[in-house]
Amino acid sequence: MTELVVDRLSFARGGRGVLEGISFAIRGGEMVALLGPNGAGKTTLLRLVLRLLQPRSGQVLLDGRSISGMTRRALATHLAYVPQGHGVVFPYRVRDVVALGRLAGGAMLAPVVPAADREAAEQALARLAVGHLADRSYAALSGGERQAVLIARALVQGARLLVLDEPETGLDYGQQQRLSDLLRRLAAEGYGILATTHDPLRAARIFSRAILMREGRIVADGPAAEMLSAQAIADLYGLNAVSVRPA
Amino acid sequence: MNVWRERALWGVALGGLLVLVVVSLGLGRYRVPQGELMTVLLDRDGAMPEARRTLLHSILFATRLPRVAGAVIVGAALSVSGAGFQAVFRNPLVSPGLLGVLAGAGFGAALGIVAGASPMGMHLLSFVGGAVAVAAAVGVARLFDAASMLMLVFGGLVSTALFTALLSLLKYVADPDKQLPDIVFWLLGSLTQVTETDVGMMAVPVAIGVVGLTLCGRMLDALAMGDDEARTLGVPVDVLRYGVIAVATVLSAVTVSVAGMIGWIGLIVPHVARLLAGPCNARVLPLSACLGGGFLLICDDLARCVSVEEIPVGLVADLLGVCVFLCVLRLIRRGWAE
Repeated sequence: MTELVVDRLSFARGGRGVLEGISFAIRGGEMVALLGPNGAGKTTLLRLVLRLLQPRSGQVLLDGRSISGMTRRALATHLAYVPQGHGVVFPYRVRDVVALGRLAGGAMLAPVVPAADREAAEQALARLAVGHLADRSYAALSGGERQAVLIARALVQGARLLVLDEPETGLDYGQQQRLSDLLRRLAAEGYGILATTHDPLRAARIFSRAILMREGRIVADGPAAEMLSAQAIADLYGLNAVSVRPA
Repeated sequence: MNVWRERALWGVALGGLLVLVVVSLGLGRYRVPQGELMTVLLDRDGAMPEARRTLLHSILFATRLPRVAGAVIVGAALSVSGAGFQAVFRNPLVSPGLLGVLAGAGFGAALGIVAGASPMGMHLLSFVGGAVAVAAAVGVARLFDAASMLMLVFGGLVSTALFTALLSLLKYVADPDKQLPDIVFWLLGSLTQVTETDVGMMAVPVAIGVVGLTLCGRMLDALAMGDDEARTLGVPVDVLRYGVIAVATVLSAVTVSVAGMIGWIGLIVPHVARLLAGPCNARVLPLSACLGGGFLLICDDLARCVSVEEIPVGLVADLLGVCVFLCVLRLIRRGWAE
């Protein structure tokens, strides 16, 4: 089972410490929410885990191997990134966007999309119940549909760990609910999930574990329902506990 | 795109180009009737009178073929170069000149004219000028923030401004009776002086460039999603970006060194290709080569045949390009983002 270990990770930007001594581990099947006020370092931490930034000290290990020594391709087959549903300048079709997930595991220098990649893309879309989008233009999709497509791409990558950046941003209530169900299903299948989120009340219900960050440090790490009490949320965001009402 | 539509598209594109080449060989001041043209091209001219045969061979193969081939290669190279730049910069408004290659190559050619270099020396100076201009743009970008595409564009602006200024300086000091007209004519773009040697010299790097960029097509598709996303998909983004810039620069610089400044077909043609084949670069790049080659060949035919005095092909390409662009603009807009 895939295991992600973050070991005493520190990061500085322009001489100023942004992250300090971050350590935690995620196993397959776990669903971890990363919470904290803006500027706490959540996104920086995700970027370090994905090796889009280099740490000042400490390391990130995948199954015991440091990611700093891995090739981009090897990393991509272990760890998939699901960004926020974004626009694209050129009108790619959904099936082509999803098939890009197979680049790392297959032929990088291929003039056409191999048939196996197209099949894998279609299967992944069907698995997420969005098979009907395959021939639509990705740019024309709604936020929720884009998110589903990007998750399908992550599955096609073959990675067992998914890193999501505020996946529920811009989704309506129904889409959020569907996304939560989907993530829970994936976790039940053994996928490890690490997602930043801005909604502690929602995270308390859906995620199995919560990591709370403030000013570049982890202030709490444990079962989501316990970690995200009204008092803890109020402390984290500098609020009065009365104004936080857990559902 | 389904398999049959794709096959039909390639059939029409390649077949159309072939027909254009054959028709173009027959065009010119000395009209060669289609019948005779085909007889010679298919090598069935054994029964033809010796004098007529020699004449036709000299016109078709020695005079017109290098020029026709030159037009196709130059058009293909510029269009593929433009498509490559557009992919790397994720911007459909980018032309091959973005990083200063055209300005630099133009300056190099002008320097060759002022210094009285041989034709070979001029090719070389022009090519080196283009490469130096792009290297300068990349250097400026790396000086400040290597990872930023915006800095790269700024670098290109700086480099273009620098080499345009240097070109103006050369025009100012050039002999107004002999050298200045040469420079001006060169900058208008022309295929009149394309020789067999030029064609041979261009063909290999252009073919390698087109094939190489096409093979990178899927990685370029990933790049369209953004640098970070492409990295997490396993794409070596920096190697890819600078590699494609290098190849696209060589493609553009080669065309300037042989045919002068033939501007913005590199901007338009990829749009038409995208319109026909969708946004996937593995199709857009080779189709751009095909369409660009055909387009410049039509332009050159017009340049040769419209009037007794030849019109610079760069001028024709610009004028015809404007018409084509206006015609397809509506459709192109639909193709950007629905």
